[in-house]
Amino acid sequence: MSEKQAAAPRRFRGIRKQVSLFLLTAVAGFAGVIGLVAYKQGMFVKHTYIHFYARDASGINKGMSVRLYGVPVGAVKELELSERGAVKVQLGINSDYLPHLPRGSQARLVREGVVGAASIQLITGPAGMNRVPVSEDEEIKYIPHRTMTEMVDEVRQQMTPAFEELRKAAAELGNPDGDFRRSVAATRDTLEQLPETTRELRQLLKDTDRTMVALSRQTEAVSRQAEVTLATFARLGAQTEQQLPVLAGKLATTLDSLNATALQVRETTRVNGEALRELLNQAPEVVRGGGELVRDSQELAAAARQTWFLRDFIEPSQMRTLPVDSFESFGKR
Amino acid sequence: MTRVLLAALLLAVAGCSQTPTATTVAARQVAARHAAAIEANRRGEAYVRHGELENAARSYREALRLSQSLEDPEGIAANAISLSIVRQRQGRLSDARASLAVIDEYAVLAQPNLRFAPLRLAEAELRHALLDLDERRFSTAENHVSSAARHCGERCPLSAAIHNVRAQLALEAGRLEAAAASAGAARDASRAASDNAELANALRLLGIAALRSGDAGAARASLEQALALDRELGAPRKIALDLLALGRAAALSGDREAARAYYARALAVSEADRDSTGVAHARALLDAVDKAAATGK
Repeated sequence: MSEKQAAAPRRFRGIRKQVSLFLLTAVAGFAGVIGLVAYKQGMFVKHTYIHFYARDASGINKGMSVRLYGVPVGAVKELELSERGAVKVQLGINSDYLPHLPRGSQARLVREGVVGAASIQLITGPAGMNRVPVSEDEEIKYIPHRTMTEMVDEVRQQMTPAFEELRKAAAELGNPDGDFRRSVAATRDTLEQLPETTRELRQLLKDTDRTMVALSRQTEAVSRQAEVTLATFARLGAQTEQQLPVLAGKLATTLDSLNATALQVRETTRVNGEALRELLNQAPEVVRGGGELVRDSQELAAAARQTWFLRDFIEPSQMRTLPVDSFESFGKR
Repeated sequence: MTRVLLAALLLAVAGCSQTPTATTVAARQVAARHAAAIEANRRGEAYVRHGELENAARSYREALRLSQSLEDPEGIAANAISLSIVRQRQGRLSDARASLAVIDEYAVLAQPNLRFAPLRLAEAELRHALLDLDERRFSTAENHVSSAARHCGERCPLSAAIHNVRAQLALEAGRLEAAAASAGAARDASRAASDNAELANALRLLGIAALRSGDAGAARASLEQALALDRELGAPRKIALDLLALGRAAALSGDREAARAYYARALAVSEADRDSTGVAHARALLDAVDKAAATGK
């Protein structure tokens, strides 16, 4: 009995130290894990804080990732309502990336897909701009993200003046008192007058020819008449001189009107073409967005169906066969 | 005690730090594909309910493709059989046979991990028999019915349908007693299985067999029961068939007015159901009754 009492303390001799060592190791391991997690979360990284003001901070959350060229460089640290009637969004940027973020950079909210994770994307200015990096507590500009409705509105706004111009041009073409119709009428008048003028000119040439013949034959006899003929010739020349500038003026006016009309048509076509190109550029994006929205909704519904809260209320899914009816073919024969 | 709790907490923290394995990702993909197949199957069923047969066929074809990609025997059989039913209703009998051929091909391979349940094989054979019946290939239909009965065994949910197909084959061959016997067996089997659709079919066949035997009273009794069941089930094509048979029974017993009334009802039902064959049939019988009334025969 006394031997047993003596053996028991020897067996547990030093046990306190061993247990303490074990617990110390566990605590050290736990602290190591915590430290590792903190390191991974970037708690030992020096951050530079910059901010921007957003009129609407929907979709921006504290802790949201901030990306530069798609690389995570920081996070949203603070959101607060400012007296400027906007939301001050403070970004904590890893100081290592600061040289890549020059002054004049801008921020905008982007989303991976329609229902994907949102993040703040930093956009730097074009190469050649001032490359001095942003400094602590500096403000950058925020580009508000456009919703699908706004995109459609913008397209509509761009299209409306184009259609308005087109309508005006069509109205101008159809207006009997408009420049175009008047130009056409003036051109027609000019063209109608041209045969008459030509006829007169031809007549004039014939008369001149006849006069010249008469002159050559009767040089001496009709010297007086020669003066008359010369006078007639001079009168005809003056008449021609008077008529030609008028005709040239009418022709110039017509050409000016036609030129103006052509310019107007070209401008309208260009504006319409740009608006149409913009619309066609944005249409696939809108369609793709719709498709992604449907797909994401289906995935969300499928995921929701599998949650413990809903799955008990949903009938288990299994294949069903249409009932085999022995009268399927009866009455057709 | 505190130290033990601390140690347990550390273990729990370590246990939570697992990453999803490749196996769970693969299982999730398979589950997603399986869910897509079931979704397509359900869509097909909904289209059939709304009478959109082409859309139904497209959905069942998609479900069959997905099931084949997973080598899911249950899915392959269910969708191939449903697709064959839709194709037969569209009158595309060769397409109906082609969809059943998918099951036949897998059955011939007889892979251990790709075996169809006996009930599915019985359904496929019965569908073959119904297609043969539609094309008046009575001998091959007999073979398929026998094969279906073999797969089905003593008691299975298809017994009543198998007896009913046998009764139809006997009627086509003019064997009225055999037809009545098979229809009677179908009636008992369908009552035991509480299958009202096949019970109505059996009663209709009993009525038609009695009609051909010249027993108008027995025919009327069976057909009225069949009509009541079909109205409960909401099966317009079968309601029209019951009414036409009841009209014939009335005509057999010399009640021309009652016969005319039944044919007119059958015509109205077929027109409402947009069943051109039923409309033509009812119109021909109505014309025959009117002609007989005009000649006074």
